[in-house]
Amino acid sequence: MNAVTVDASVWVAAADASDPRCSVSRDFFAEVAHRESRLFVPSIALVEVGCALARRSGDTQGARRLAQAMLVPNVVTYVAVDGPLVAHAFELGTEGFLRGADALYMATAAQTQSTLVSWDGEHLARGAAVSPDAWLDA
Amino acid sequence: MKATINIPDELYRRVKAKSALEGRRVREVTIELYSHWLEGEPSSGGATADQWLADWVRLADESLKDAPAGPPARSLLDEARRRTEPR
Repeated sequence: MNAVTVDASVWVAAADASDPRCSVSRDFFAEVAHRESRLFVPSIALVEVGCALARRSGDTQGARRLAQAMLVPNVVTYVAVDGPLVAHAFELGTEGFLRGADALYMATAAQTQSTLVSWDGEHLARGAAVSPDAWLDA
Repeated sequence: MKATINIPDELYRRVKAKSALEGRRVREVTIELYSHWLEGEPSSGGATADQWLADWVRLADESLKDAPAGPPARSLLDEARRRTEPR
């Protein structure tokens, strides 16, 4: 049941069949579904995923539909970037010299006691996240 | 009829956030859910994780099938995240 917070990089990789990491990203989500792991998504991920997909496809409505379809209530827990989360991200980010968005993801993972899963090089380099393939192997 | 009910703060925050995303009022969503429940229909939140994933992957493939050649969406995301960093 290990809970996961999923970075936008994994969502867009799973969405885009032209991405070399698409297949393993889809395997990751399939395993999350199989294990019935709790899946958290901070609200900033919706913006990042929607924008990246819109820029990739050139299709505003399609990108919006796809990003919003991430948020099925009984499968995905949407975490609002509200005052307490921002305060926590502020602490983590200034302490660890993080980029602002990274601090929001890390605060989400910390608050939900979940593992941050990401393809982002900086998330992985700082040891704050695991990649989908490492999560699958664990 | 006007009704007053107590809802957990976190749940209500999420309801408000999703309603805002969909451009709907909480009142409309509430009425819709009550109606579905009374009629015995599953609400949109009734999907299993497997169903959700299958639907989402199908929608992704459909949405991006006509995407022009170019770097994958992950590269665009990565580029956007690093725009302000020194090169």
